[in-house]
Amino acid sequence: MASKFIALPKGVSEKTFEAAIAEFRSILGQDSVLVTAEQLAPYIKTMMPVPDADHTPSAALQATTVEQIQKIVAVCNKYKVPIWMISTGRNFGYGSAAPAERGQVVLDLKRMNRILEVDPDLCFALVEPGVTYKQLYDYIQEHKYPLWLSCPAPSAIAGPTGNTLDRGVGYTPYGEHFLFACGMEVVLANGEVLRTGMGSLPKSNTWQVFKWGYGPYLDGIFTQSNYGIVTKFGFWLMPAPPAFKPFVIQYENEDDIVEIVETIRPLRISGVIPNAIVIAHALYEAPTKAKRSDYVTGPGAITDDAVRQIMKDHKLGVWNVYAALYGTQEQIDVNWKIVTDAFSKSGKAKVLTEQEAGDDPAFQYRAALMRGDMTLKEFSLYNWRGGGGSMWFAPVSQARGSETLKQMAMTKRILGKYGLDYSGEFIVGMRDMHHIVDVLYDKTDPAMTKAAYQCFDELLTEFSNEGYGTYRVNTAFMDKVAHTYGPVQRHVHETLKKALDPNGILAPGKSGIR
Amino acid sequence: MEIDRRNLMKGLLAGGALLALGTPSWTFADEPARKAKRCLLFLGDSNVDDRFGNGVRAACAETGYDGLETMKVDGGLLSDPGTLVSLLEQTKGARWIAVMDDASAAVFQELARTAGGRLLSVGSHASVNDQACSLRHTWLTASSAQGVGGFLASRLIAARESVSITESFLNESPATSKPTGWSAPGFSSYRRAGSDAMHLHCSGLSLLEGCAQLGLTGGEGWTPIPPPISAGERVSRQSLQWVESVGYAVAASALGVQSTQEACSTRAFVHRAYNPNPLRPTQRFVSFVMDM
Repeated sequence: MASKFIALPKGVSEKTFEAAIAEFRSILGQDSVLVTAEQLAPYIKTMMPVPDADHTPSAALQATTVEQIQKIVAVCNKYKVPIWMISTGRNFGYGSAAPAERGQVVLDLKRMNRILEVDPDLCFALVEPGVTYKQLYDYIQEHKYPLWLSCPAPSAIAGPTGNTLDRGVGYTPYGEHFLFACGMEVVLANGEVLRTGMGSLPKSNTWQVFKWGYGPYLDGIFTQSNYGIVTKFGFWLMPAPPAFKPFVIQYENEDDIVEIVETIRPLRISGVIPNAIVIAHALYEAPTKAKRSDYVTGPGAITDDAVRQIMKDHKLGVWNVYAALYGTQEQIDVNWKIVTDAFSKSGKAKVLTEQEAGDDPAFQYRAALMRGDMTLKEFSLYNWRGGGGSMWFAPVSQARGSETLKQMAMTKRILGKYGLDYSGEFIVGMRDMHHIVDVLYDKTDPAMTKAAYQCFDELLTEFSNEGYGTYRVNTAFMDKVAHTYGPVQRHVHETLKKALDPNGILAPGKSGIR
Repeated sequence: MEIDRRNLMKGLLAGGALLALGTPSWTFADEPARKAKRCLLFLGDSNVDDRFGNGVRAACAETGYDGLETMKVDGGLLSDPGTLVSLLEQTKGARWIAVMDDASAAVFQELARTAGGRLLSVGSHASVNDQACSLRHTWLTASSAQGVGGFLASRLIAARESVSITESFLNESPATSKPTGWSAPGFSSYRRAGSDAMHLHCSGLSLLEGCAQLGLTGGEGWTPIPPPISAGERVSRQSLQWVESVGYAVAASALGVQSTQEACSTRAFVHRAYNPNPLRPTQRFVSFVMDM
């Protein structure tokens, strides 16, 4: 090896890469082009069951302006050097900040972190990609704007641009984040700057209020894709409601998921419960209160008996339904009656409000997420088994009880075959459910790491065989998931790629697109 | 050969041999960057904080470093990431030795990267209820000059523990005409050449068994590495408890004690203890050496 660089882009010689680095330095300055092992190591560690060496970057660039990015893509085209864009890079179980392929140059946009506009009347924000939720939260607090954010689980440290572009979700009524996106600025591979929607119109002041503009709607092709570099991002903010009532409904048996979903669906579709309801399994919530090794040791998935004991010890249901009501107190009172009437019919549900569960750590962090507050408590999951291995398995299902039961049983069976636990939750969308399972394993154990890889591969295969698509996946499995969506979609994606990025410089491999 | 010998000596001495031999002073790396002017111990409120800290302080005492500052966050980083962000900003130029649980580690690495931290090593450590290998350590290390695995191996092989230590280097040290390696009494060393050259040091088990323990398929392609030194060195029997030993080894590396540099991208140590200690409770943590 003994190269000047810890990795090289595929097909690029050291000499060529050296020339590219020199040009990057002339654009960004010496200190903003990182090439040493110590500088790049923080970008490398992944939670996937593949060697970190497979995802080692050759360099990292820290740009601060659109003009710099335009010059960077020109250099990339000149030398055929691929870049992997990150905003804050907090993808954790979806792949972290590491590039999809060894040798790609990370374009780190963390220093593009200006909050360009927050409009308290029209309730929107326009930000650069490096802005974090915490930064925006503090800004809103400081200005005393009556606005709420919708954050994903890594709220404080993640940012709205990256999360939305990866089609992440939050837990408030604005939880389907891309639904509330409005206007992007995108640097294309040829260096042109596109403003989507109304942003293309000179002097327009409707960029962040009207999504569609004129002609084909383009924003979607810049999500989960590698067709451009988003440098400004607009999205809508939720007006702070006068009242907020979080609650949890606990159920004792795994089969109760059927009743839960059948009860929730009409409440969600009609808007009685307006937020992204979470139906969390006991093992998803237990890590805020306990560790796996408190209950089981040795190989194999955790037993149902142990799960029962955890439920008993920590006052958890096997399913824990977290939701909230928003609005005036009068609206909440009316809707609360509808909710409690619906859930009390079978006599199986145990309904708890802040009054009964306010001190419970699981309830506390869930309530915080449902009001857009900053909390990282969900990542207690990483202490459940320990060892640093995590992959989010994220198939989509219809919001039907029979479907969710089937998915849960399939997942649990496959995980159990490989000795892994079912740490899962369902997030109720408008008519769908995101089934989110954290495949947790010990990366220090070679046998378990191998099993985790095989397990995840089998999950993807079996689910796609049943017609269940995965909506988001870590960088090691993007090709596989892209394949499950069939050749025609893949061909269209590739056709767009060739048209917009003929040299393939932007994040080759993202979502299986090259 | 002399260079090899010195490197090995340094590695063994760093591992505690000096204590056993009654020899004074450690040997430090020559590169200025390897020596920290200001060293901080960050305790992330894991259940190994005290023991890890004891090991760090023991290393500081032996190297004559008396400037160690200790910082501790209550409740871990999930509860209060903001405090860490402030600390990172306030300690520019300092070298951090940090210990925390897995969840905090995920957050720590992200926030340190954002703050411009340069990562010298990150290690994941586990004691598990497993007869085959009760102590497991994996490291990602910027370069072999910052290696930690050899320090730890030299401490732990004296204990009645079965151990595996795997260390990946982002920067391979320049290839030498003869492959050189780490060695200690009872260890056999092997090299697998190639673009991802690996060194494997086995004690108490064969090459094949060592490969199996690390999840490596087959035993082909390995060539023995002859021991680089004459007899005479021995490893300290004054082994610290294992968590303390990790703290000690991490601190030794952070303080700039020269590690044996091996020309490979990965090296591993596997040691099988006979009549091992009784099975121990599961315990895990993550260590970092990071320059801010």
